[in-house]
Amino acid sequence: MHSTTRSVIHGQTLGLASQPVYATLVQFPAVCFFGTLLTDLAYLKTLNYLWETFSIWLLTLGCIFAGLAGIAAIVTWVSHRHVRRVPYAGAYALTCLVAAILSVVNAFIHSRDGYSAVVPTGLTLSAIVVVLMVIATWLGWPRVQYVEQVQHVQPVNNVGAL
Amino acid sequence: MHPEISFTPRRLVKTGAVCGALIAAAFGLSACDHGDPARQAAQYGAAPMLPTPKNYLLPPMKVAPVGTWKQGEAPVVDASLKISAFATGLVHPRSLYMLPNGDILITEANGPAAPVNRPKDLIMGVIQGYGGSNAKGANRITLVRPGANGAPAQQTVFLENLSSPFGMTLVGNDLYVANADSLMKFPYKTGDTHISAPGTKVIDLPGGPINHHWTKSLLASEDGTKLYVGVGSNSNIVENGLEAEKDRADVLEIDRATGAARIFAAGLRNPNGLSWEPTTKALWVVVNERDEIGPDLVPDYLTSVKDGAFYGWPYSYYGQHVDKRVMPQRPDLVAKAIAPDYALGSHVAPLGLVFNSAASTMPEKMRTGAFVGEHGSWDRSPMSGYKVVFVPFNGGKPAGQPVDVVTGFLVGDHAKGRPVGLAMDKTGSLLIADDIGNTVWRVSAAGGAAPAPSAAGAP
Repeated sequence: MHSTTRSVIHGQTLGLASQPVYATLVQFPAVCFFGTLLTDLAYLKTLNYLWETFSIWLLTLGCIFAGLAGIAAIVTWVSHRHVRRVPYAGAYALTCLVAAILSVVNAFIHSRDGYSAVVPTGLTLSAIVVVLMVIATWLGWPRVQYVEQVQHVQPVNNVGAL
Repeated sequence: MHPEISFTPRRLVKTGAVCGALIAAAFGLSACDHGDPARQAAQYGAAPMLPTPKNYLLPPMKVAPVGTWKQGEAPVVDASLKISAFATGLVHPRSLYMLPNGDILITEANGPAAPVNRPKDLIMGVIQGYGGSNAKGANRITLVRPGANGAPAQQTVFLENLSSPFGMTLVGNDLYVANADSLMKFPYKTGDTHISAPGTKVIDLPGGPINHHWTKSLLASEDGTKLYVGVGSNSNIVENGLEAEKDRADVLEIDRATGAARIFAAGLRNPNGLSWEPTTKALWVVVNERDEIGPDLVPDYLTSVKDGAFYGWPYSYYGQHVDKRVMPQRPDLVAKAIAPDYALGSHVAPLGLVFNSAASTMPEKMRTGAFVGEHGSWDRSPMSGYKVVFVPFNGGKPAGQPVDVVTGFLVGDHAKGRPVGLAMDKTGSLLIADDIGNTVWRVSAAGGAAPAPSAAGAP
């Protein structure tokens, strides 16, 4: 029963990443939060307040889209059992959640005035979030090998049978 | 083959709830950093107690929503005084000036639209709007001629189409008005109740596009050769960059004949209420200090302003207490910074200052010294300010604790009014501009030596 479910619609073994709305939305925080680290580093180097302004806008947009992606993720997670059951699904979701929460905290840190908006807490959080996003990417990466293995086990005509 | 770290929906929701609770707790902790009454009591006078600065996730804040004065309601004074409405139906009255014939000028203004440079500006706009700070001003000056012996006051629109006017001063037949971005000159004859002349620009003042602390106080030297303008900083603590602070956070001295300007004193974050101390003839000013490093930091102050002095902003406060939010730091400037004379308490937001004199009709205990209008700030819980205090002076120096003169602007948690600019009228009574209350209040001795107030709405 278990292996049948997996083999019939193998695309769904991609987990949350297979959900197109989520997959689209989650790119925004990924790019924004990575950008925040870069603009924070630029601030550290130049002490020009404009870089801090870039950071806080990137964080704000990233957090808004992370919230929307989170809604898409929860809907998918609750309504589709298979996205919960792929390997590392829980670890992936938890890592993303922690990254999003730290980014919300980071947005408040970056809303301080002056140097303490970035150094040291803001910059540290920006770096931690990027590391978490890299880990999440690994955890949520499509396990192609696994999909192929399932396909080898089941005949292709099972798809038609459903 | 793969470890199954299976999170059920319930478990995920639970994890989310725990994380949410942690964030809420962090916010709660910062928002619950209440100002300490004992510490507040130790923050008046020459040597205020200064706690360690803190950084916040969310700075402690409390904003009083706007209430309205009902017919017959007024702020509260003690039994030796009486209070009445001097002028009502105004549109955000901010500052007051008495002409030599006893006519009172009232600027009705609020700041120019603040640009949104950071997401925070959007949120602060909403928060301060809740406290009435975003109300539209009329960009005009209204003249009130007090009626003699209880006759009704005459109230006329004196000067229109200004741009966030605040400071006013008359030298001879020249009436100077400090807009948020320019110093203007208008012809005035004694007894005028309206000026229709377009006026001429004397000099541009530091203005937009940000113009964060926009109120430009104005004062003329006794001989009329110099004008002094208080210019506030363009930020809380240079978060808009140092370039935005050119010629700001200082008192400018302008030569009236040539229009040449120089920085008279610097490092004053938001100086207002420029006044001459009557015995020593020294320049005094009230200053709003910086925000977001604690409910009991930094005390706002009243100080004499020395020619060429540097008072710290942004690099340090209260002398040489370094503000680490400013990078790069300037130890060379911090070394020059001098401490102000008299702390008024943290976040009281003094915007009005007027000296009384020994000849005043006010009660004996309020003659030698200065009244200070404390507008109140969003950055402290519980709120502080929202009152008018009297600072007794002796020999041209503050002597003693500030005394509450007018309170009761806060009713429950609502602000029915917020005091701003002050003036003494011809009878020696105190006038108070109440911006969100759209009223000018008159406070006089209860004994009845002064003529009865004339405007309606008095209790």
